[in-house]
Amino acid sequence: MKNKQERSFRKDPGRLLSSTVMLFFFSAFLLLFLKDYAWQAFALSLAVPAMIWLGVNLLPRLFPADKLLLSLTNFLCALGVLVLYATNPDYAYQQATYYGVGLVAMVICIYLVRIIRHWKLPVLLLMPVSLGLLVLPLIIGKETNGARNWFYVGSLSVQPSEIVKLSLLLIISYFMSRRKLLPWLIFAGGCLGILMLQKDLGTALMYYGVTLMLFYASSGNLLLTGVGLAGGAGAAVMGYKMFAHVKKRVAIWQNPWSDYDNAGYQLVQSLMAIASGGLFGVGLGLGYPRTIPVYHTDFIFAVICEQFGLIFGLCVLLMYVAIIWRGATVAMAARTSFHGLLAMGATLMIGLQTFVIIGGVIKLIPLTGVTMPFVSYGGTSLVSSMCLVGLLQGVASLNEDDLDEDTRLAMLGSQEGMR
Amino acid sequence: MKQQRYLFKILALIMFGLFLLLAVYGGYSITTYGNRWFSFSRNPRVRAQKQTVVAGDIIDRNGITLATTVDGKRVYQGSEESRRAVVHLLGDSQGQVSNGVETFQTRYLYGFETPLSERFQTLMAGETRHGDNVKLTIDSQLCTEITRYFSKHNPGKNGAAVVMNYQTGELIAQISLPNFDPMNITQATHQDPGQPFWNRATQSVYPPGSSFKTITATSALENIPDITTQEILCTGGLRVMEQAIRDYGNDVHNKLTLRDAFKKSCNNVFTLTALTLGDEKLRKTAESFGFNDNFLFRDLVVENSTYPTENRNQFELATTGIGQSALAATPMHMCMVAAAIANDGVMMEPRLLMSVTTAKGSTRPLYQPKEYRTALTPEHAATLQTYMRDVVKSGTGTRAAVPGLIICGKTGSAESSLSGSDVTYGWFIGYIENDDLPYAVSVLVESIEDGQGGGSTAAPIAADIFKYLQGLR
Amino acid sequence: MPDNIYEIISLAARYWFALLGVLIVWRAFRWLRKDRKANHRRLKQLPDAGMIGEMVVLEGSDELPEGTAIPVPRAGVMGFVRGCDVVVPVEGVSPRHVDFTFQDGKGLLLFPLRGAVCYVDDVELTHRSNTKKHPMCHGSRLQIGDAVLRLRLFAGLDAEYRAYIPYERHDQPFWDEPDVTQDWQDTNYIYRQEPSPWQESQNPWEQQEPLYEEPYQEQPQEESWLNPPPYQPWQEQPQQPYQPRRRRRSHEE
Repeated sequence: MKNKQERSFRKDPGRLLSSTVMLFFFSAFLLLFLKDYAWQAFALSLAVPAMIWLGVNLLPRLFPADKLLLSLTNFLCALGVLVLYATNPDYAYQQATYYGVGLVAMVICIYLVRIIRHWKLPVLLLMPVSLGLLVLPLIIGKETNGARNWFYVGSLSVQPSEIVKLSLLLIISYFMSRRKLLPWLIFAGGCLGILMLQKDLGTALMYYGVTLMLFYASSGNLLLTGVGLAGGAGAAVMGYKMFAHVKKRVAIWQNPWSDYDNAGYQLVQSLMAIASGGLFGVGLGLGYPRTIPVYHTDFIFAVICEQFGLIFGLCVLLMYVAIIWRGATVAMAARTSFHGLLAMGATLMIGLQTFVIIGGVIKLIPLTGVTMPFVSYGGTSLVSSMCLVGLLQGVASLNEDDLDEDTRLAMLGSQEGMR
Repeated sequence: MKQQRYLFKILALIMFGLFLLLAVYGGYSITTYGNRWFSFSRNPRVRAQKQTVVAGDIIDRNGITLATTVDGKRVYQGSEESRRAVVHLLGDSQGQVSNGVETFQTRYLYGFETPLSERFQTLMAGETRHGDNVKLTIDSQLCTEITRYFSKHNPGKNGAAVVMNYQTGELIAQISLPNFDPMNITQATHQDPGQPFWNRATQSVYPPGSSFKTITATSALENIPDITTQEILCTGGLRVMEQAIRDYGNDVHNKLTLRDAFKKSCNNVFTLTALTLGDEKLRKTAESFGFNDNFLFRDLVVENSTYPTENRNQFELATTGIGQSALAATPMHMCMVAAAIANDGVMMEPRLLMSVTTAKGSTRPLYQPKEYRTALTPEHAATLQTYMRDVVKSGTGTRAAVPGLIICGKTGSAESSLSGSDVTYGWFIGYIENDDLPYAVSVLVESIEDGQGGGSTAAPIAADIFKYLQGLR
Repeated sequence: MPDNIYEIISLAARYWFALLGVLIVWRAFRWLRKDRKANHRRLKQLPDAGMIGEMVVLEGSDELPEGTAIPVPRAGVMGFVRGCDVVVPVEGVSPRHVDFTFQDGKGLLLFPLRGAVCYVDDVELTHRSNTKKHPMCHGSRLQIGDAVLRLRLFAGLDAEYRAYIPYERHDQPFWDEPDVTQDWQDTNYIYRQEPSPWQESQNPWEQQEPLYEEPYQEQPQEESWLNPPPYQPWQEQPQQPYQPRRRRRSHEE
C-alpha cells in the first residue's frame, strides 16, 4: 500500500514537471558559475529553483491557482532571468526582482477575479483611467526607436500599453457578454488611435487582433468579423502608403540583406545568431549574443536560439502552445460568458504577442517592437503578463468552485431522490 | 454560451495554426538558408573564430593544395597565374569575393563542426585548434588552362567559363575574367572598372541569346505535335508590332525544318515558333529548366535566372524565343541546361565539395549526387542531342569540333543595351557525348566585336577545353 | 576557469539542456492530456454539471413534443438555431431569441434580444423593459413564439419564491382536475439523449471503458403478502445538526 502511494507520488505530473524545471535552472546557473566563479551565479543557482518551488508547489496550497500554468510561466520567467544573466547580469537582477513582484501581482489578480462580482462600476471606472494612462507618453514621454510608448515615474520606466491591455480585456469582455456594441467599440477604437499616434504598431496589431477574435467568439457573426478583418487590412495598406517608417519596416522584412549595415542590421544580426546556433546551440555563456542590437527585449528569442539551439527554441514555442491549450480549456469550461471571454482574451493576448514577436525575429512577418511575454526584459511587460495569467487562473479557480458546487448539488439531489 | 465555447475551440485552433506556421517556417528557413546566413562575411562569430582557430586547407581534386595557413597567415599556393584562375572559386581572406569557398564553407574551414571528442583531444594535448581540410571537385590546372585559352582566342576580353560533369553534377572548372591575385590586393584592384571581385560565372546574369533556342526547341517538341516534319518558311525577317526582327547577317533561308533552323540558328523560325507556342507554354518549359526558380544548392550560391513575367506583348514574346527580351541567366545555369540535355533530361545539382577531412584525419560523410530537377523527357533530349550534334558538325559551331570526339553544342550571340551602348555577348554551350568523358561546358565572352558571334569567339575556347579533357582519358 | 575548458563543458552541456527542454515539454503535454481525461471522467459522473434546471415543454411542435425536458445552463441563449444553449424549434421563435442568466437568490433573468418578445407568467418582456423585475423562478411559465415552457429548478438552488401555478389543463374537464403541483412535477419527461454540453464530444474510435460497473446483485422481490419485508425495529434517526451553507458566489451582474 505504502509502495503504491509512493509510486503515485512519483508519478504526480506536477512534481515531475517542476522537478525537471528546477533541475534545468540549477544546472544552467551552475554552469555559468563555473565560467568565472561569480558568487551571484551560484546564489542564483539555488535561489531560482527555490523561487520555482515556492511558485509551483507552495503557492497553490495557499491560494487557488492552476499548477500547470504556474510551472510553465515560472519556467519562462526563469528562462528570461537565465538568458539575461548570461548576456548582461545587471538586467538579470532587475528581472529577478520583477519576477517576484509579478508573482504577487498574479495572486492579486486571481483574487480580483474571484472577489469582484459586480464588474459594472470597475469597468466604467477603468475606461477613462486607462485611456488617460495611454495618452500620458504622448505628453511626457520620450521617443525611442521610433515609438513613443513609455515614460518615467521617478527612475522606473513604465509602458502603459502593457497595463492597458489588462483593462482592455476586462472592458471588452464585459460589454461583449452584455451584447453592448458601442462602449467597447469606442474604447478599442480610442486605444488603437492613440497607439497609432505613438507609432506602436506591434501593440496596435495585438489589440486589434484580440478584439476582433473576441468579437467573433462572442457574436459568432462571420460577416462582421470579415468586414473588420478587411478594414484592418485596408488600414494596414493605408498605413503602408502613408507612413514612411512602415514602408521602411516592410522593405527590411522583404530583404534585410540589401542594407545589412544600417536598416537591416537588427534583423541580419538576429538571423545570423539563429543560424549560428544550429540544432543544439553554441553553448550557454558562449557565442556573441550581445552583437544583436536589442538582445534583451525584442530579440531575446534569437539569443535563446543561439545559446540553446533550434530544438530548444521549438520547445519554448511548444510551452506557449501548452499555455494556450490550457487557457482555451479554462475558457471553454467557464460558466458565464464574461468569464469565458476574459480567459480566452488573456490566452489570445499571450499567444498573439508571442506570435508577433517571434514571427518578427525569424522574418516571417515584419518586425514590430513587442516584448516576448514572460521572457523579455522589462518590468511592466513581465508584471502584466503575469497579471494576464492571474486573470486566467482566477477564472480557472471559479470553474473549480463551480464543479465542487455541482458535485454538492448532485449529492443533494441523490439524497432527495432516496428520501 | 454553447456557440461561444465552440468558437473558442476554433480560435484556439487558429492560434495553434499560427504557432505551427512559426515552427515550420523557422525550421524550413534555417535548414535551407541557415548556411548562407551563417557564412555571411559580417558574422562576428566567424571573425572571432579566426583569432583562435587555424583555418584548414583547400585542396583540388588532384591533391594540389590551393590554400593553406602558414604562421597564422592565409597563403594561396601556386604561380600567380594559377592563383588568379581559381580566385573566384576560392574567394579571398578579406571576403571581397562573396560566397567563395573561403566564406561559404566557413563552417568546415574554421572548425565550427569539429566533433566534441576531437576538441577534447586537442585540449588535452595542448595544441592549437585546426579547421577541417576541404577537398574540392575542381581541377585547378584546367582553370589555369582556360584563362590561357581566353587570352589566346580573345585577348583582353572579359568572360566566364564553367565545366561540369553532367552525370554527377561535379564542378570541374569555373573561371571568371578579369581576375586578381589574392596575395596582392592593391588599391588599383579595388578601383578597376572591370570589377575583378565580381564572379561572372555565378553572380552575373546575361541574356542567353541563341543558346536559349535549345529551350525554345524543347518547348516546340513538347507542344507542337508534327514539328519535326513541318517545313517553315524563313523570309529573312519578321515584323512584329512594327519592329523588325532580322536574321544574323540578313540571311534568307527559305523553307527549312526545325532541325535545319537549329543548325543554322535561324532567328526567323524561332520567333515564329515562339509566337505559335505562346507565352505560357514557353515559360513552362523554361521553368522546368530552372528559370524563375530559387537556386538553393548546398555547395554553391548561384544567382537566380529569370524568365520575364511582366509586360509581355507579342514583340517581347517573339524576342524571348531567340533568347533576348528580359531573359537572364548565369553561365553556370546555361552549363546546367546543356548538362540536362546531355544527361537525358535529368538536371543534376552542381557540387563543389568532394570530401571534408578533420584535422585529426577522420572524413566527414557528405551527401550523395542529387537530381535537381527533370528538365525534359529522354525522347526529346535524344532529339535535341542530334540537333546539337549537327550544330558542331556542319552548323554555326564548327569551330568547337575536336577530332576523335563527338561534340554537341549551341552557339549564341546576345545583345544587350543596359548602359546606353549596345554590347554583344558570345556564348557557347555544349558537351562531349561520351560516357567516359561526361563533361558539359559553357563559355561566355563579353563585348565581342561587330561581325563576330559565339561561333567565332566562344566555340574555339570550348574546343580547347574539350581537347584538354580528351587528354585526361 | 580557462576559456577553452569552459567551452568544452558548455558544448557538452548543451545536449543536456536540449534533453531537459524536450522532457519538460513532453511532461507538460502529458499532464495536459491526463488532466483532460480526469476532467472527462468527472463530468461524466455529473451529467447535470453547469445546469440549473430544465424547461418542460407544455406546448410545442412536432419537433419539440409536449413533455420534453430541455436542460438549462446557468447562462446562455435561447432560440431557434442549433448553436443556442436552449433550442426551441417552434414557429415564432427567432434564431437567437433571448439571453438568460441565473442569479442566485433571485431566479432566471431573461434579456430578450432586439426585436424579440417573450412572456414570463403572462408579463410581456422586450429588450426595453426592465427584465430584472420579472425573474423566472421555480414553476414559472415562459411563452416564446408559439411555445410554452415551464421552468423547473434543480434542488438546492436558491430562488426567491415559487411561481403561482393556476389551473391550466384545458384538455381535461374540470372535475378531473389534478393536483396543481403534480401537473408538472410528475410529467413523464422524455429526457434528451444528447450528452451534456460540458462534456466534449466523445471520440467514437476510442474504446470507452465503463467507469464503474455495478456488481451483480440479486434483485429484491416485490413486496407482497407472500414476501413480507424483514422485520426492522423502529429506531430514532439522529437529527442532522444544522449546517449553515457556505456563501456561494452569485454571478456578476
